[in-house]
Amino acid sequence: MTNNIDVYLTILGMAVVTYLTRISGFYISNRISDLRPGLARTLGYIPGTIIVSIIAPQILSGGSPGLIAAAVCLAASLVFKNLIAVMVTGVVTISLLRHFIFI
Amino acid sequence: MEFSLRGFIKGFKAGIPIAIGVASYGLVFGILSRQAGLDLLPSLCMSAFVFAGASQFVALDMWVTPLPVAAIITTTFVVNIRHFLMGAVLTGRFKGMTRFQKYLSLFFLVDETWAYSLSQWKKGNTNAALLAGSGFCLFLAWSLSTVLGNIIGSGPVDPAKWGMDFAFTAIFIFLAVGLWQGRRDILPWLIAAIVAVIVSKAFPGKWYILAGSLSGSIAGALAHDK
Repeated sequence: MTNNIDVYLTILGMAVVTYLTRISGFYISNRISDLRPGLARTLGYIPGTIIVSIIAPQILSGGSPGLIAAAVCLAASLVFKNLIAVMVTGVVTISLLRHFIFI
Repeated sequence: MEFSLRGFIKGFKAGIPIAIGVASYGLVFGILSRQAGLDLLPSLCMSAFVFAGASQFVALDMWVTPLPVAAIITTTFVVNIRHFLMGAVLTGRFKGMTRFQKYLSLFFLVDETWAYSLSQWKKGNTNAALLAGSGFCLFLAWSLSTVLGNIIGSGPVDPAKWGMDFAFTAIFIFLAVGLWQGRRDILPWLIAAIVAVIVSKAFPGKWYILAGSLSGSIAGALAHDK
């Protein structure tokens, strides 16, 4: 079982750094007239590349069923535009693949 | 700009339809947080104090024993760094507010409330409390649905058996599709994927997330400059 102090320390740390991201842009741009465009562009790419960096190793480590289920999720995301629908599709697909095709 | 109860209530009401969508995410977060080993109280604390969905899903995905405290906090910071740009845009809009009003409003800064408030202000609305009002509505939906999900998730299930381990991948694919901005994302996303895969094989821990994201984002910005 994970140490309780570590759990709350992690949550506290997450809360503090997240609040810092919320106030820092506001605070700094009060003092500097403009953000350097290169930095602004880099920050703009962060959300997408974070997600890609999380899923790329996950999908590959899942082998063929992982790749197929990921492709199905991609298609489902474009069609449904709804988180729960995509999640159910993904979970059902991977279960079927594991139980019936890639045993 | 003024900051009044009327603006707060208007924002709160406008937040209700968005809150329904947020609650569905919160429900999923609550269920998966329980699967990851988080009890009701820490799960609620995370939703109430961090209040940033994508970073919370990322944290759950990293939630193993022993807990990688530093890696989770650092990654949370980078996932949420986009708030920096969103906050910078608000500077001109918050003139004339007290410090308390400003820093309270900024806690409720999330993608949806920011976009909604800015669109209203651009149309001529001068009430700065729209952000806090709509944000508070989403905050309630997010926290309460987390509690509900955590309770539902305490049923006896074997995550791997039911493919629940794939739920995160499915969620992240869905989030990625929503973040796609067009062809200019191809290069940074490709580099992020390649670097993340290599670093995940070469180094222990979850630092590959930061490595992939930073190299992809910097590559994207450099390619633009050429």
